[in-house]
Amino acid sequence: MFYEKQENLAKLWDILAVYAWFDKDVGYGQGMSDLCSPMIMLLEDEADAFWCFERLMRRLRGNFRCTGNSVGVETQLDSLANVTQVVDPKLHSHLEHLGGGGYLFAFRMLMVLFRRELSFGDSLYLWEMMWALEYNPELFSLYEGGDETNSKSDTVRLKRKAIRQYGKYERANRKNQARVKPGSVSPLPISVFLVASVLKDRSDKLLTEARGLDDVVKILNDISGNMDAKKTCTEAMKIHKKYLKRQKRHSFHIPWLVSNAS
Amino acid sequence: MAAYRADDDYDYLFKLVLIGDSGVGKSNLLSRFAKNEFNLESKSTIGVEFATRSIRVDDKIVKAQIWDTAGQERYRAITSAYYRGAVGALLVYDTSRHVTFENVERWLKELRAHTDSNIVIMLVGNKADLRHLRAVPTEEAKAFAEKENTYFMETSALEALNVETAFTEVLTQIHHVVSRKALDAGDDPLGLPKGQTINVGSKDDVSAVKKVGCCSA
Repeated sequence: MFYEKQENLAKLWDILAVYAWFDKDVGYGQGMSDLCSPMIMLLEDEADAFWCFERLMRRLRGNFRCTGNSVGVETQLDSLANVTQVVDPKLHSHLEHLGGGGYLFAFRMLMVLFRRELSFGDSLYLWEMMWALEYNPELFSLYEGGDETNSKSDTVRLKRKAIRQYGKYERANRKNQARVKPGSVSPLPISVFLVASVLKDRSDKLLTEARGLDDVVKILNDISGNMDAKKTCTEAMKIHKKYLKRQKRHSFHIPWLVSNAS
Repeated sequence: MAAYRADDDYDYLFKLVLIGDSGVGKSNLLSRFAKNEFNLESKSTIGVEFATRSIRVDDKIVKAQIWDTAGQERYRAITSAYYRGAVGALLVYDTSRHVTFENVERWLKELRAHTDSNIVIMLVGNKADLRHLRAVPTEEAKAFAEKENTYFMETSALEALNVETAFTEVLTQIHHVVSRKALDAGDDPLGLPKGQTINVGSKDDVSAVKKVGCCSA
């Protein structure tokens, strides 16, 4: 085991400690080690590992942020509830009936991006697919420039050529945003759809066998080791497509959109 | 009862929760009890996990469904959602870190705010094997438990010391509470529609069976 070596464990400790000091709003949250540990295993240089982790946290730090009586990830859990309600209403109402409407059982999957559900190799494979699907050619400048360029680039009309460079998932979001009023829908991270895909895959089992929240947690815990990263991604993309379609259909009922179209 | 539960034969299902600061050994207490395993390099619990084990209490089979929670403060909003329906709790601190004992009061407050007043609570001082590092004297914890009307025991998940006894004691006490009450099929305090429904009864019952158990330090 890599982390049985004291020097490797020390690196993990260092990076997490520096990060907590670096990002005072978020600090240290349990689960960060799951996100950080692959960086240390892949990059020998401690500073490189830190900056890779820091860039990853730019996407994920919101989940760890604690405000008052809630944790940031609850926003993603709400989105997951929303997506499931749209794409699998039967499952959603069943989960709600069991008292799982808060989708807290998906907490771990979203917090550590399936690190606990998949083997080390499989989780890196999944991360790579996720990031390729979410790729945005402006990503680098977004990271370098901070939030200001972020909002500016949203309003810039995308050229046909540029859109081809986007990852498949991000492209679908961009196209969708161009259709609806710019900025009216903020895109969800692909992780939400990955969890939705996991739920959908277990939908039958959840509907027939889960008679309490404990059963839900148990059924979802049993996916450890038998989750197919590629299949989950493919299914997540389908769910995303379906979700955007339904969302579009609903948005056409909004009067101002209809008048804009005419 | 569905086919997949046919092999799962029990008279009572009791939901327990394991709470306390991070790193006090909650997950290892659970794995020691449920699987007789201990892991020196276990990872932090993200959210909640649970395990079950059935034991014989008096002449009944009691299935314990034990929920293990993340200890970090910022996740309490998430973990406390799982307190609902618990009829027993093990509130764990680390005998070698006094601060984890100081936080027990807040955990207790939180627990009582989210659960039935009849819940059977045991204060558990874990890592009793670290004798040379002891920071919380047994007497101090025992006095606190008496004051707060909870059971008390010191354990070591590493040495498998008192772990079995602690869980069994809590389950036995819950069983005593419920068996002294007439079964009421209409009111299931576990909130789980399976097994035999139980009523943990009135407040007096818990104090009536309360006694402080303790290991030798």
